[in-house]
Amino acid sequence: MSDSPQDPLVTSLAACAQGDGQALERVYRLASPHLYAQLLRIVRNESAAQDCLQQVFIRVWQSAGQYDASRAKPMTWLSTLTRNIGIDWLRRQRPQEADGQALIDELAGLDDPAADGQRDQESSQLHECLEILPAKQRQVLELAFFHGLTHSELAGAITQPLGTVKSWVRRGLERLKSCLTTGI
Amino acid sequence: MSDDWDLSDPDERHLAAGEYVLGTLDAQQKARFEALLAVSHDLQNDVARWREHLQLFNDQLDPRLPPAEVWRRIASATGIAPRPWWQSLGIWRTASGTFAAAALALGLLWSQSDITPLPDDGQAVYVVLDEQRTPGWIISATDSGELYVQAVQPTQVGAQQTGELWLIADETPISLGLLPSEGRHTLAPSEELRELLMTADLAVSVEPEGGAPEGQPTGPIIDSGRMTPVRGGTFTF
Repeated sequence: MSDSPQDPLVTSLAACAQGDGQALERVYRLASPHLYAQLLRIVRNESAAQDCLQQVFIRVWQSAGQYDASRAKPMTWLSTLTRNIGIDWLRRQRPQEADGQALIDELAGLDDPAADGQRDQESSQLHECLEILPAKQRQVLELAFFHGLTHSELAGAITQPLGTVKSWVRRGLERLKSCLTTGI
Repeated sequence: MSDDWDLSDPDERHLAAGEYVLGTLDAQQKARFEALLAVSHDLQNDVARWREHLQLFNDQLDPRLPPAEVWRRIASATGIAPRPWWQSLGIWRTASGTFAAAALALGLLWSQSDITPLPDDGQAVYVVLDEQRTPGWIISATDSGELYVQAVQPTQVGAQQTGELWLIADETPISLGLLPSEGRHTLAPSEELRELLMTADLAVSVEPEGGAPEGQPTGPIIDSGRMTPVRGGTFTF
């Protein structure tokens, strides 16, 4: 699924699996600004995001051999790993948030495009697929994606009935897929 | 989810794969889904496709450069020996927006009346930017191979320090000379270095007054980049 066999991330990940430290440095250089942005979005704390980023690259170093270029684009593989580490960090924090204040803050922040770090300049077809999602569908999808919330946690977070939330999620997913695969 | 969650239905299964990647399934559903996932290639492909679809949420985020400290921690934790910066320039250049930033800085400078960035016979230029993208110096090469250096705001160079310009050839830094803290200065590289000037990496480091004592950079790097030919110039690569 990689764009080309010459994708420097693919070759660098393969070299990482052989213990090539320079290759890890290359992967870091190419991918870390994107992964760091992702972690900032998930954990919303610079110092925690940096700790998580460190964990991500230690994991990359240890498990680069598991990357299979025929199954995933390299950025998708790295992002999945990063998201798991970020959400694990969130889950470890969550029990301490007795009143879920951070999540409420997060929900308030969702209406603020600047806080989301949305990219304005590259409004390609990809971003149009996000734009066409009805606001509620996009909100539950992003909340689930960046916060690792289940259907019932989502329902609690946005105080909507479980059935409504599930249907927003499913319609959002279907809409997104249809836009990405057929452009409609 | 209710008991009507029927993973034997292909449509339902396909959407469940999306929900699985999104992370909204509860613990019990997740366990059921993963049991099926372990044995179904189709479902594994579905999951892979959904991962690519949902990557869109990551793609919309503006990249943010992590502090340099993070890489040092990773290098130390993984036992990768940190290399001197001049051996990593090629790696670090690939993702940087230095080129565009330099062009932008130059455009801004041009509009400032008290600085004339290029001599009349200037053929190529390199704007040295610090981490805040403040231009420290403008270095322009003439067609005779001399380098005119105009100090702008070399903010990272303190008292009893100087900026030193390096040309990196085969991962080895060669000094092109010291940069002035204010005003203008001309450097005259040797014939050999002039030939490399347009294609080699250049870098500026902070050194003690008088320059790097051992002929190798000792201080932190301010910037690295390359000469950019001026349109209409006669320099050839």
